[in-house]
Amino acid sequence: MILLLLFAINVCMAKPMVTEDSLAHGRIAAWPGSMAEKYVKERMPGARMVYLDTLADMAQNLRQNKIDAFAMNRLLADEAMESGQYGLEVLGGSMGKTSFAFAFAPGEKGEQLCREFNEFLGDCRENGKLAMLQEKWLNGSKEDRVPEEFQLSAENGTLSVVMNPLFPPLLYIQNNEIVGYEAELFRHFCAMQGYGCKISVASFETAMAGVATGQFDVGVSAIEYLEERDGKFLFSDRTCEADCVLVVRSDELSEAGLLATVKKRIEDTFLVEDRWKMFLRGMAITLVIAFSAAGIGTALGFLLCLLYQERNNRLNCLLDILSRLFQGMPVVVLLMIFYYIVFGKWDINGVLVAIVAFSLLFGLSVFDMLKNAATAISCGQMEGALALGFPERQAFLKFILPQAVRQAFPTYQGALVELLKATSIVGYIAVQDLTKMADIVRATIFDAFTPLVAITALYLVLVWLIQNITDRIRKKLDPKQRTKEDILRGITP
Amino acid sequence: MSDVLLRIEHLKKSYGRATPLVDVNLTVYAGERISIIGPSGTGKSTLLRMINRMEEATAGKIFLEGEEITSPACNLAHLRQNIGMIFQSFHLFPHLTVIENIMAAPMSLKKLSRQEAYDKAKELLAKVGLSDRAFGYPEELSGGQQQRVAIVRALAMEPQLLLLDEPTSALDPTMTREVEAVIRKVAESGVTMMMVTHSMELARRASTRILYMDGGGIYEDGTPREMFSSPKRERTRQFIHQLKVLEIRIDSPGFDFYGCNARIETFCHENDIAHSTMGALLLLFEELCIQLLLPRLAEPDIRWTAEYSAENEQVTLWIDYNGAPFNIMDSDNEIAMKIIHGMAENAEYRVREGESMVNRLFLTVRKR
Repeated sequence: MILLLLFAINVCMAKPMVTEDSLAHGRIAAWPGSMAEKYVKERMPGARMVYLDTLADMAQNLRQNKIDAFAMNRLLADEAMESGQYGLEVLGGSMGKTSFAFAFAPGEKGEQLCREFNEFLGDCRENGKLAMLQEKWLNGSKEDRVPEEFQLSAENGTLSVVMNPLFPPLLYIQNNEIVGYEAELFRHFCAMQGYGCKISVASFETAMAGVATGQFDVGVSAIEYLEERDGKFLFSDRTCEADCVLVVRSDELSEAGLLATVKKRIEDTFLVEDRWKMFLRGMAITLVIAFSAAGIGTALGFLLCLLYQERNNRLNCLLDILSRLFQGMPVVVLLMIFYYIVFGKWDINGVLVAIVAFSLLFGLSVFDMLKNAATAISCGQMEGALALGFPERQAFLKFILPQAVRQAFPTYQGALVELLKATSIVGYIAVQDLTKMADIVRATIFDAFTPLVAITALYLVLVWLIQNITDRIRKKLDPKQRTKEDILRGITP
Repeated sequence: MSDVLLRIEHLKKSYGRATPLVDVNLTVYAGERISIIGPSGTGKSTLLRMINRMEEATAGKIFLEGEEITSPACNLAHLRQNIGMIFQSFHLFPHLTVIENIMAAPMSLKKLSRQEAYDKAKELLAKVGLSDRAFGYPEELSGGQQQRVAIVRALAMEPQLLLLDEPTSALDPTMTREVEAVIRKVAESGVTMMMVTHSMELARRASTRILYMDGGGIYEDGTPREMFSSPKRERTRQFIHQLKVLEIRIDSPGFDFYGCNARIETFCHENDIAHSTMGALLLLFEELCIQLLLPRLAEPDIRWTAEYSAENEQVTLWIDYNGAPFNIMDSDNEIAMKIIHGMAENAEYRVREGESMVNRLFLTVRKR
């Protein structure tokens, strides 16, 4: 009910008019450090800049009157406006030109690749291939945008490429595949040079940082050519060029009724291009990370707890420090440290890095829970067991630990749910989990509401699932659930 | 006498500045049932806990059957399997049923089969009247029942020595009686026992020997009859008769008279002594010390001791003083003598040869 109400408000939102005058001191969005930002600052020094990352975010903010306009290159702006119902229009003419290029990692390999690519680009320009690609993806009608099939041989090695496919028509997802002008251009290059291609998906910042540190060989991500950026990595020659324009709200409102709109949004989110598969894939990744981390972390927590009982002062001090350090750090920072620093130089899958980081984090938190529960129990129970003649380790395993497990279990259940939710940040390290998939869909269809509601529901289902399973385990752990027959196993009374 | 089971030599225990046990020496023979009594803080529990090495001795040695158990080479687990221990707060395992609590140690440590351990536990439970609680959990039992289970749990290991650390202190009177009955039954079975207790009744009825601990060691050692009927030493007697003592020392003519009066009043209030008795005590103090004694002593050294027995609500006074032997009751101060005789009776004078305070006068304060 509440969701439906929210939906209605969301759809029927009033859109006040904007005039050119109000823009002079208005809120204008742009990509941070883009050419568009530069033009806005030159032409409208009184305007307040708002930095948003994706076109979808900008369109959404504009529709909801959170900004008054956004500055964007014409290629992408047109795409946003073509989705019709949103009531956006271009204000005035071109503010200036911007151009796009690929970014290669600094170093010998990058220089070599960059040279190869520039030669390839020059050839394409001469033999008309580039014009053909531009006609197909940038100027032609949407129906003509059929991606070409490639069989990449990888005879000369595989390139690790990072893409942020949120920028139609340059780079976007269609039928669960990354397509677009840049994607196809890059695949032609790979085919020509005999390279294989391993694609990682990441946000713009992650992609840029990854290329700069050499984690990826090349970034293909609607990267604008900017002089300031030159040097951190190697820019190729420009692949295409576009005008920068201002986009504002138009007074045209969607003609469709509420129900039709809802239907269209749901179709866009799930059915068109089989996008429901993306949600499923994201959910699978989220589950793999969360469940692996839960399993490994729990085992690790028990192991650390046993080690702690050995009362080795130095080791225990180290454990205490580690546990404070890890738990006192924002998870996203920890994740990025693992991705860029600890595993920075290795070609390692982001999912694995996420599993390692979350396992460690969860292990330390399980260790903490067990340690605290054991301390609360220990005194009298330990004394009782020792006085009977149990060696200390055996006393701990037999009497303290089972009680500690039971006592810590409700906290553990909560921590599992927290773990699942915490995995939603893995998008930062190029992993396409459920949240990231919703981001991609959001950027593709220019609608935030439906994908976000969809993943909220999916997360709720997962949380419910976790609670259900763990509740069963908790009941199993209660010794009072045992029958007299269980206790008397192997005994004739 | 039978064999020596336990020998303690010059045992000492300090924690930081405090030294509850200065020098403890003790020999325990097999089959003895020893109760350890004494005021709080005199190291009774500490002594018990050092015998199974739940606490480490600061100095000294303990031998069990001739083997030194205070040596670092001693196998603690093995030692404790031979010495059972009962705690004030039971320490049963709450996640196990009563029968599992009892079976755990014999199965894990003595390698009894489940069946053997079970049969033994059942037999012992029957002896303490808890057969039908075998499959209950500790929290479902009363305190008294829990303590009985704890006793059975310790006995299931067939210990050579059973240590009981205030086994009835956490229980109300009814439960205390049921546990005391079980302890007496165990005592009769012949197992060697050492028990710290605040219950004189239990100590008297369950033991063959009583240790009174005070002043950092064993202050007096005797049979229950000796200790309860005719204790030889002062503090034992005070403790056993639950005596409260006030001691005032006067060593100069200009002593704080009002301060002393206040101490007497506080002593009376704290021990619930009748108001009339308090008046008598104040008067007796003034007449005996101020009126009679001080004028006679050039360099006074007087110890004025009042002892109150809660048992028979009786205050006994004794006054020790220096100088040449003389009985102040021979005084010719008629008014003072009249007051003293009105307040007290049974005056008895004694000369204590060799003491610096050579004179001692006993008085019993009259009851009204």
